[in-house]
Parts: sequence; structure tokens; C-alpha cells
Amino acid sequence: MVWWLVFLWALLKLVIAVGFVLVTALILIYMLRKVMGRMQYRMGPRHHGPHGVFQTMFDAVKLLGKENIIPKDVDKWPYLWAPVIVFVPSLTIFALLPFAEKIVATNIEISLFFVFAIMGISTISLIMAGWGSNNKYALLGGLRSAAQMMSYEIPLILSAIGVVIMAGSMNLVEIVRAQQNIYYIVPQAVAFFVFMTSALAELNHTPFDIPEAESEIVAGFNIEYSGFRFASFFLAEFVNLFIICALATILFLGGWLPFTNPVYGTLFFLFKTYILIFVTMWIRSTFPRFRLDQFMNFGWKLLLPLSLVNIFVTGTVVLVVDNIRGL
Amino acid sequence: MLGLLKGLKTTLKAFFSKPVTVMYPYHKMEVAPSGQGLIRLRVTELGNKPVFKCTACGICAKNCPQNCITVKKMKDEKQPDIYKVDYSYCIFCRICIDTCPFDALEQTQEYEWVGETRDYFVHNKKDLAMDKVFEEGKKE
Repeated sequence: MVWWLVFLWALLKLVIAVGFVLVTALILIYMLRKVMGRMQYRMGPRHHGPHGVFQTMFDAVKLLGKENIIPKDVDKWPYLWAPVIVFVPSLTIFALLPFAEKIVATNIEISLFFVFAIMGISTISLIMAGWGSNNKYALLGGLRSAAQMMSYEIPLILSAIGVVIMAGSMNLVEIVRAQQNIYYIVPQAVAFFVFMTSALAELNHTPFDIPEAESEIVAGFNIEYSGFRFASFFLAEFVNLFIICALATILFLGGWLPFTNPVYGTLFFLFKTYILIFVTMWIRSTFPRFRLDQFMNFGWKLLLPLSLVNIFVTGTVVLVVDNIRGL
Repeated sequence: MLGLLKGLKTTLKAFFSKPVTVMYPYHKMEVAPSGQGLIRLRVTELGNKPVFKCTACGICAKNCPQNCITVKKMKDEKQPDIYKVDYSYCIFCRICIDTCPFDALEQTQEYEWVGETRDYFVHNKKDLAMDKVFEEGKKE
């Protein structure tokens, strides 16, 4: 009698997480258009609801209604499955993110490790999209994008290891609990910088958005997708943005601390995450983009050594402090 | 690095300031008094009778780079019989206003005019007049 109740409760939590994902994607798209507009001395969307809040919804409905065009000589399986594969890891990761002390859909002991492992799966979907589109520009865009994402995943993960060393656990809830005295952005400022920069590159965000720069390679791997398949890539980008900023909040900014109350904790967590998202959009509106070879240099020659040095120094300091305490 | 921070500061200042664009057509921006709109013929009084300052000399038509002005003189009178401006060709360069020796043309501030046929865009003498003197003046 009890087992199906447990199953139903787990299913309900997952459904809430998925619903939250989609609503967040819509909110973020609207926020991007408004913030970017204001920073360029113009208004964002203004029609369609008070201050244009329904604009994203109408855009999504419009994309749903478009004709289902599949070009003639595409490779059917990679082309059709790429939009699905880019979206599924984001949804899966959402089930692991803790919003407050007890508000997490599932909590496993190595959740940070699991999050990074799943995030790597979305890289293959870009290669599938690029290859399956039967278009040399899409292929080029897809390969560039995959190279960029792979080379920036390494500094991303290594910069999080400094936090793991200091917290002593890979469980995301434990990492937040360990920041009760001081948020990890203070001792791990270098790691925070490396994390946020690698995150921008992971998400194909300006200034690293060469794979999908509209004026240069005409939408990159996206070029043969229309209608809801394009919407899928587009939404996945914004969901990934939220996930990375939420991860950065958990790892470096203390998650929901100092509130342990579920409601206030969640609200404060969301507040911090949205501040980081605002900073990302601020950077997006300000800087021009790197050239491909410039940002490969930046990733391999600057961020990777920095993150390795950070791990070394963090490990040494933690060891020394523990030995001193042991004495 | 400092340049990057300066750029961020500029964008943030722009975020908190008033936007430059307005929601056209619900709000419209103010046009400067030295307007850049349609050309109009000036009207003056000659012994209590309103007349055009234009004497149909044809200098504006000869100098127009797009050849959009057609002028024909009335017989035995120094007034234009036919004066047409084809606005589908006009580039609003003001050469006609600058070269007129009688100061007979001026530029208004109208920029919103939409037509459904090509004939709409050929304004003739009555349309070009100032409407407060000639009643059938303005084309709607």
C-alpha cells in the first residue's frame, strides 16, 4: 500500500521540478530581452501584457505553429534526436539542485560529481546537430562549439574541486552547510573567477559565443532547425544558464544561507541566482566576442593552469591548517 | 582589465537611465523646428489677394537631382499653372528650397504619410499650398 504512495510523491516532486524548469526558461528569456534592451538605451518588449510579460509565451506558441521542415538529405537519427538530447540533461540536473535545506527532489551523496557528468552529455548533441544537418556551415559550427565546450569543461570542474576540498564532501547540501562561517567566494576568489568564465564558455555565451554568433556563422549548428526544434535548443541554453548560476550560488555564494526556513531559504537562493544571471547578461551586453583561437588560448593557457594552482594551494592550506589543529 | 571594468560601468549606467526610444505610434518623438518633411509652397498677400510667392521660373525643377518637380507657367501671369512634386522620388535634399530665388518653398515637419496607390504621392499645386488660405489645400 505504501510503495505506490512513495512512487507518487517522487513523481510529483519531479513534475514540479520540470514545471519550474520551463517557467524559469520563459522568465529568463524575457529578462534577457529587457535587461539587454535597457542597457542599450532602448525599451525591451512592451506590447503583449503589462510591460510585455507575455511576449515569450507568444513566441513559444508561434514557434510551435511553424511548419515542420526537414531538409532533404539529412541524417535522420542525429538530426531528429539532437534537440531531445540537448534538453534532457538540463532537466535531469534540475532534480538534483537543492533550493533550501530540505527542498531538493533527490539528494545523493555525490551530487556534484553527477551534475558535472551529466552536463557533458549535452556536448554530443551539438555534434549530432552539426553532422546531421547536411550543411558544411552547421558542421563547422557544431565542431567549433563542441571543441569549445570540451576544452572549458576542464577548468570548470577543476575550479569546483577547490570547494570540495574545503567542504570535505561532494554532496551539494553538505557543501552549502559547510559555508556557514564564511561563503567560499572569499577564500576561493580565483576559483570563482575561473568558474564563472568557464561557465560563460560552456553556455556559448558572449564573449565566447562564436559558435552561434548570428553575424558570423549564421546561427552555427542551429541553421537547419526551425520551429519547435529550434525552440528546444534555445530553451536549453537558458535552462543551462540557470543551472550554472545556481551551481555557482551553491558552491561559492552559500546557497540559501543564512536562512534555514524553507520558504525564505528558497527565495534568498533564487535572489542570489538571479543576481548572478543579471551579471551574465550585463557581460553579454557589454563585451565583443573573442576569436576562436583567442579563446582557446585563454582556456588552455590561462584558466587551466589557474585552476590547477588553485587546487594545489587549497590542498596545501587545508593540510597545514588541519595539522596545526591536530597539534 | 581596466577597460573592461569601464565598459561594464557604462552599461550599468545605461541600464538605470531613461531609454531613448519611444513606443511609436502611441508616443511620438518631437521633431525639430527645422523640419525635414514635405515641401510646401509659400503664400503671400498681394493687395488683399492670396498669391503664391512662386513665379514658375523653373529653377527648382532644373536643379532637382531626382527630376521630381514639374512646373508650368500660367499665361500672362507670374503664377504656376501646374506645379507637381512626385514624392516617390523626392529625397528631401532641400536643393529646391536653397536655389529658389523668390524664397517660395519651405519645408514642413510632416513625416507620416502613407498611400495606397502611386498617384497618392504626386502632390499638385493645391496640395502644396498652405491650407489656411486655400481651402481645398491639404490632401488627407
